[in-house]
Amino acid sequence: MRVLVIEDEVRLAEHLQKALKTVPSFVVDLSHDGEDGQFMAETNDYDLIVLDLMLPVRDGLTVLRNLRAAGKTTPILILTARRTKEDIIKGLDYGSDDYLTKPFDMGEFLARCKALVRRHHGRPDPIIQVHDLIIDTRTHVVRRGNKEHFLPALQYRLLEYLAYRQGAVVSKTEILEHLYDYNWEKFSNVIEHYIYELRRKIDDGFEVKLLHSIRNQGYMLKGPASCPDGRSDSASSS
Amino acid sequence: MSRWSLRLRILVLTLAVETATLVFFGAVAYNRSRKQLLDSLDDQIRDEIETIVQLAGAEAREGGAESPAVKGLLRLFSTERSILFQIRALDGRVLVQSPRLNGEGLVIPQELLSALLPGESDFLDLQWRDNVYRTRVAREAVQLPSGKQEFFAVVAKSRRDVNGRLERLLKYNSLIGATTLVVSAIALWIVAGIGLAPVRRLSGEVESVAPRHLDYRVNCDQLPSDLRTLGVSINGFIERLAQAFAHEKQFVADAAHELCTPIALLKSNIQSALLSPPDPVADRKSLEELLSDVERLEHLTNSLLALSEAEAAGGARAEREMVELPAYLESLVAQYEPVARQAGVTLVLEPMPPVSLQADRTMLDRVLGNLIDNAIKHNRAGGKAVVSVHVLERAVEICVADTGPGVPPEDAPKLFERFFRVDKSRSRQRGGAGLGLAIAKSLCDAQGAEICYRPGETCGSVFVVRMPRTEPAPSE
Repeated sequence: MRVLVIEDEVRLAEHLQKALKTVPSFVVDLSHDGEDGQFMAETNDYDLIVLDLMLPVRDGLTVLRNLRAAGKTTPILILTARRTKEDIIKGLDYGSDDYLTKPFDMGEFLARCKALVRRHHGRPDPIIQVHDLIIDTRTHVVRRGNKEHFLPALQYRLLEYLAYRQGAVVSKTEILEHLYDYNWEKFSNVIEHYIYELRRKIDDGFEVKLLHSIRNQGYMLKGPASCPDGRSDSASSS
Repeated sequence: MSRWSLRLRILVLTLAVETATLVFFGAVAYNRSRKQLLDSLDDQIRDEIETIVQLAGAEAREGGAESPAVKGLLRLFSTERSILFQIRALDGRVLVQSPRLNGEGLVIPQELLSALLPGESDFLDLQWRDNVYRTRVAREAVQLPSGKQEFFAVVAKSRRDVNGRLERLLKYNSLIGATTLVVSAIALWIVAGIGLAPVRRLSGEVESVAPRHLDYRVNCDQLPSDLRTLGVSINGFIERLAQAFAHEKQFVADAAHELCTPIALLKSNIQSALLSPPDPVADRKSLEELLSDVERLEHLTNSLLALSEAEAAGGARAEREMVELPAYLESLVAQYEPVARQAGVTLVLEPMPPVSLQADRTMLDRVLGNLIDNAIKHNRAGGKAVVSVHVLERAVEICVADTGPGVPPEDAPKLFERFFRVDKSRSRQRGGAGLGLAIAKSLCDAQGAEICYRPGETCGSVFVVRMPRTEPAPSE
């Protein structure tokens, strides 16, 4: 999950980045003014945007409105010191998904971020299940059969992302977009290596294979019963 | 009386006017009646005198006191109990008189008798026994064959009837007057109550205006025309109160908001450090940041305190002293030299005429120090900050100019507002709370000085502090 934090207070932005990075799901990009932030949000496919309201160059509400007007459906969390009822109503009415006032609790902030991502993918349950593979997004433990794994951050992030989009073919480009922040060199052969690692951990020794490579298209995580476009086939209900 | 209720005031004043009117017209009517009564008494007396003169003429012609005319006269006047008469010779001797006067005569002053010329008469009031008698003395004459015979005819009539009638009139008038006053007092009390109802309603409305409901306005259209101005001024008063309250509320909100950011920083810093695995280098960095954040909070708190002091103090506590500007500014500018050097800004004090001012030195320190500090901070590297003094006829202008980016024209009016920053992100990193100029303005206001902004001639901004002069301009 790639998160964009638009916050002009540089040090606060860094703290947010530091805290978000303690969750293996997230990679974080920072932007310190409204114009730059809007540009980044428009040119990259983020999974979550954390938006301050009082920003230099272009204020947060304008950024919010522009992004929604441009058809961006990315969940947006407003994080601001403006705490009047009117401000909160305005922020939500302009199209944000959540509103948190400063000073805030970092634990609450992280929980809200995770919740927004879950809801965005239409999977409010914090436990994602693909056939008999269980991913607990709270503890980041991955289990299949009686094998339990604590995956390295990048592998976990990749698996979680594929699991959120289970049944769909996810291209390498998409994976690169969502799993790495701005500062990474993006090499697609790195992805192949991680897929190999994941497959070794979750598919090896199991009759039913979950992680599929689709030639020239990308990768797909799905159970044996679901159809290729099986996002609605929620494994978590079983 | 100024503390009495309006209703009572109206009542008392109206009653006073009414009483005066009643007394005046009562007195006029009384006097008129008295005069009429006395006139008619006088007329009666005149008639009696004529009768006496006629009878006296007949008596004189017939001769002797036993003449039928005298008898008739005596008879006539002895039956009329309220009338007394005398006929006196010119020397004052009583010739004939009412039988009742025989024991105790009427005393008529001799001067009056001797002052009367032939044909003249005079009225006077005489006391006889218990009553006052209206008395007419006339010097009359009858034509006898022997020649003209002169005598005094005196007729006195008791005023008891007249006085009795006048007394009754007075009683009657007083009774009517008193009744009128009581009735109209009651009526007035009620009427004044009705008339003053809008005032009571207005005061009720104003009473309902609580500090939390300052959006309430008196409905002036429903007020009587003479209360409308009061209503309008009450509304104006509420309006000003509401503005002051809103201003304070805004200030508290702004202050709280300003405190939020450093607190959010502190909290996020601590929590993100606690979430991350321990790392001596990162933790050290966090601690240093925490210290700088706490210092920022400290700075903000001090600024808020300074602002509230500056706003509360007014000019009252200012300790004014003679300040020699050239020497003072030199030492002030010297204080800021190190800061300027660090920022790469040249701090210049322009030469100035020897001028001194009556001013509070601490206030000058704060105001000018803040301006110089701003001129250094909001400057470009290699720029200049210039302090200069201009002596005007009645004031001295101290100007602080910089070569920084200046202030956008749309922001200029807001410069002296609390918490206003031209570039929020930039000045926040430099530790500014947006209070410096607001404090400077409050201090200047308290000292009778003016502070204003104008754009620099080529670039940057100029802040001018204009202080009133207390001594004549130096001769140059």
